[in-house]
Amino acid sequence: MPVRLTRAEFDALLARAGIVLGEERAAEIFRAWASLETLIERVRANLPPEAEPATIYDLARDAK
Amino acid sequence: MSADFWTIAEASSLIARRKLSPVELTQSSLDRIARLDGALHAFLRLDGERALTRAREAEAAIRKDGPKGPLHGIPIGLKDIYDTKDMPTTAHSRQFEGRRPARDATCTKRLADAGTVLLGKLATHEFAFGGPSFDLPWPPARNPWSPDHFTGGSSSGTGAAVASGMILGGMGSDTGGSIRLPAALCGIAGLKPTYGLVPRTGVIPLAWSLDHAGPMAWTVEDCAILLQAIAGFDAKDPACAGRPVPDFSAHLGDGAKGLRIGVLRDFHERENPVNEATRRALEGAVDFFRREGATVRDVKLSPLVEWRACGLVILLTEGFAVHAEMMRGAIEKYGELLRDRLVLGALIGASDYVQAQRRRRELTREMSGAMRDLDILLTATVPAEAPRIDRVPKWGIVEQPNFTSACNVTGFPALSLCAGYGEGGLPLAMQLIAKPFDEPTLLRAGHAYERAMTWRQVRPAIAL
Repeated sequence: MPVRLTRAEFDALLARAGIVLGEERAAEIFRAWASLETLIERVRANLPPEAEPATIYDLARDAK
Repeated sequence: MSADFWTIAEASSLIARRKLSPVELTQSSLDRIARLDGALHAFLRLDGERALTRAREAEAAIRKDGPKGPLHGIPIGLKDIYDTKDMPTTAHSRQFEGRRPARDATCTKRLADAGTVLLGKLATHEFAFGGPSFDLPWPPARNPWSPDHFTGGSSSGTGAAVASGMILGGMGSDTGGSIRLPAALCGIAGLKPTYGLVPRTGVIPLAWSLDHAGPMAWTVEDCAILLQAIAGFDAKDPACAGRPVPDFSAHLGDGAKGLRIGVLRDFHERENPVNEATRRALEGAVDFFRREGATVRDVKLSPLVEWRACGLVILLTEGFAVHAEMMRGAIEKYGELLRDRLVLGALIGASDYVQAQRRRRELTREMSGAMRDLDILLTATVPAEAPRIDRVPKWGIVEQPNFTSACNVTGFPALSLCAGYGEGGLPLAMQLIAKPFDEPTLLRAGHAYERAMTWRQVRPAIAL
């Protein structure tokens, strides 16, 4: 699967996160991102509309 | 085997009958550490004087009133992400070098209250995620079965220390497999309990919604003993379940008869094929359970990669959130592996994190459904014996599926235990999974197998 995030977008996201990396390091992480992006595609795909996030919590307990 | 390779169960029985002294036992552990840890690097911090003082106190109390339980006078160690008010807790990172917590983690305190003798703090992958690393203030732990080989991680020091007999048991943590993987590669037992059973208060987080605290020991029985001391509600951990704690040892001896076991054959034969030695070990376990009167059938779940994708997106996003301030302020203090892996979390969008949490609910429902008429799922923990420590791929976390993430995603309890030995005498392992809060059945199944096999009679040659 092709990399969907461009290198320019990747650099912009790093800058927004406040992460400063040298070019060699950034290039390596950008290559690893391609593998992660294929995994991210999987979590996006074919979710039933009624699926709620697993982070929904129990207010009765949390309000104690 | 040397006579002082006691399990917790054996040592506590001898201590109760006044045939073994906690001071002698502690000194024996300290002697072994002095002999081996220069090669194995399992300990980041050892406090022998403190340990001997605690052992003397235990001995005096036992002489006066008898032992307060099976852990009284037993030497243990803690992965160095468990806060200890008497010792620094560093997460094996330059970021936290010299950090002194104000109070003990709940598990630290519960184990102390049970009378254990804490020997020291154990190596981990940096912040339970970056390893094996060679650019940190302390070297990575080495596998006692072959010090050129990987311990697995991230609870690397606990795996090495238990396998070599430096401690009788210890604590690990598991966010994507970090108890079960070192348990597998070091040839011991490691239990990731149900999410919410064991409090994480005072355990340095990696990813809150996936983090589990749990025991590692030479045997399944010893894991049950340790679990008894640490399980139960703690109001300071928002994920902790307010359920009664069962007796985890009560049904250990009930055998495998009547258990209903599902084999996740597609996981370990098709999607992430294990090597021949591991395949034979898993088939041997299946045959054992059948012979003992369990019913065994194959069962299918979504492919491994789906569980890994879901778990990794959540882990990286939450992990970056944990570390964002330090990543911005002092990124140079991290080792390369942790830094580069966590940077990926900074790139994941908010909607993708939420989609992963939605996927997680669906996957949890799927595992629940698959286990409706089953007690145990069986698969591999790792595909093969430990690789050499210098051949562990940096980006394996995103490039390779694993067998362990599924139970961090769902929170179901999972146990790794030794299933024999492969090439070069390195350990093989299998993984058993049970329904939420059914640790008694999980431990019962593991103990039945372990007791019937001879694997527990062999220790690493370096330790003999």
